Amino acid sequence: MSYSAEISRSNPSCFLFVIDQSGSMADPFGGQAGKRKADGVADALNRLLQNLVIKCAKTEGVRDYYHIGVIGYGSKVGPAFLGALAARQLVPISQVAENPARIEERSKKTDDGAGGLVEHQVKFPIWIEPVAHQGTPMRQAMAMAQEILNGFVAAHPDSFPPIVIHITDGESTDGDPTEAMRNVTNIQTSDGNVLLFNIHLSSKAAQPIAYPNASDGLPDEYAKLLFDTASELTPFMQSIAQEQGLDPQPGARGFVFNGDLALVIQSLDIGTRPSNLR
Amino acid sequence: MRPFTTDIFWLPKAGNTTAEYEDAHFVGKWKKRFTQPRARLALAIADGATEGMLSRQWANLLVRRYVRHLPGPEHLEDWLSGTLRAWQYEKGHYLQQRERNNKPVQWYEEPGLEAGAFAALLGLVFDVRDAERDGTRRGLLSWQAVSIGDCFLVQERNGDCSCMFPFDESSALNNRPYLLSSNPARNRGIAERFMFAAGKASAGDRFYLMTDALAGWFLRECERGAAPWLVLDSFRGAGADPEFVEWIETLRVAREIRNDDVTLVRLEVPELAD
Repeated sequence: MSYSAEISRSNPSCFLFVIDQSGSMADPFGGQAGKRKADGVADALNRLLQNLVIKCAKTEGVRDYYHIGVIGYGSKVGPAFLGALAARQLVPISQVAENPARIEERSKKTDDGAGGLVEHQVKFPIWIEPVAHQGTPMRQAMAMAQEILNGFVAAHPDSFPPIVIHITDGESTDGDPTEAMRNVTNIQTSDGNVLLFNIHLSSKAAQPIAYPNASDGLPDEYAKLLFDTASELTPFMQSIAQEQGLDPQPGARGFVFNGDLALVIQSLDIGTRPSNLR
Repeated sequence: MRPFTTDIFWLPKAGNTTAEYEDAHFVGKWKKRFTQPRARLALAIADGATEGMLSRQWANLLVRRYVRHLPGPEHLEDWLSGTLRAWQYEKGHYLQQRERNNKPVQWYEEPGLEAGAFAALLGLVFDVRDAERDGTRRGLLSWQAVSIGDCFLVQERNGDCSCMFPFDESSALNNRPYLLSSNPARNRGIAERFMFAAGKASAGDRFYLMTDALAGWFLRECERGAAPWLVLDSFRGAGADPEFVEWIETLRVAREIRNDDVTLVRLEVPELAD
């Protein structure tokens, strides 16, 4: 059965983030004044990385269940980590944990166990800063993703297939990226094909859409292209989406419009996850 | 009356070290207590969640406190309150040690420490008094069990599973059980989540307590008409018994059992009167 390989330190999987850093990402995000799409990308990615690290953390350290890469595309195409990881294509997640570029303090409200909320300061690590420059060479970025993943799959042929999370506003400037994306999702391990999730950030103040099973009703041609090229959710991901009330229909795809991809992290299976731990 | 015979077998998930084993087991000192007519005999297993911090420590605290306090249904809430207080002390001690060893808590550990540790728990207690009250001293021994999460208990008598608890189908197992948390905020409605069972035991009955991976194998074997307790009876060593370890490793390779920590406690009820 596909997508059932165990994810472990001896058989790690891979997360590759491909992020749009083009000039259009300086436009407002989701109709919100004062928040740019580039800010949305940086926030989403830093939060995803943080959650991924926390998921792999145990008291003796962070277990290398994943190798992580971030490709940025805009004025150039290449690794986008800042700080000590700059220029690295794929790194074990323990190194990601140990090397954020900096750590911010943010306030967060949590359940106090007595029916109320309590506000406290939490650490928010930063690996990626907002960037918005020049064109949108999406094809070139996907070609680099293909090259990196071919290397990973050659080294880990029986791993749970790599997951690519692509965050963009969808307007490629180096041609139709469909074929380059298909080249990425055609890469496979013995456990299945690479999974591509497209998160589409738009300047439109449209309702968020998560994991649709058809492109009808998507707001523009860019959203439709990103829906068409996204992978179908695996059965396990479908079940987690169901549990979270997202009500995914058969054939639901890894496409999100102006939303977040928390589900992707929540649906990673590295062992027992209590149902009362949200 | 002779003492109960108990054997414990366990091994960590493949690829993990012994220090990373997050199940726990604890068997009361029954040989000594059994000579006392009013003694109760208790044992417990627990399974700390893969996701979460200090799961092993939490699982160990739960089994020890269960065996020490033997909470019945009416005392579970008090027992849990006391256990959470004990946990605060244990966690505080752990954090102090980290500071003393110049290993401060890292940013990625903080959310997990705040969210709490999680574990499944299954406790079993035999009441000796009932047997003693029987005029012939050959009566039945009563037992009670409590469970939260996906640990599993089987009572086998003369080749039949006379009791399976708290579930009896392999489909009941998944990777998302409701577990007992060290964080009170995650234990809302916990009282309704505890499951209870009770029964009688006769000399020669065997009880098997096991964590979820082995429970899945056991139930699937039952569902295809096999007698998996015969396999579990065949191991003669204890702890990391080489034969048991080799058997589990073979099942893992054949993907007949999920790669997870495995714990089995096997118990045989003795003749109630010699």
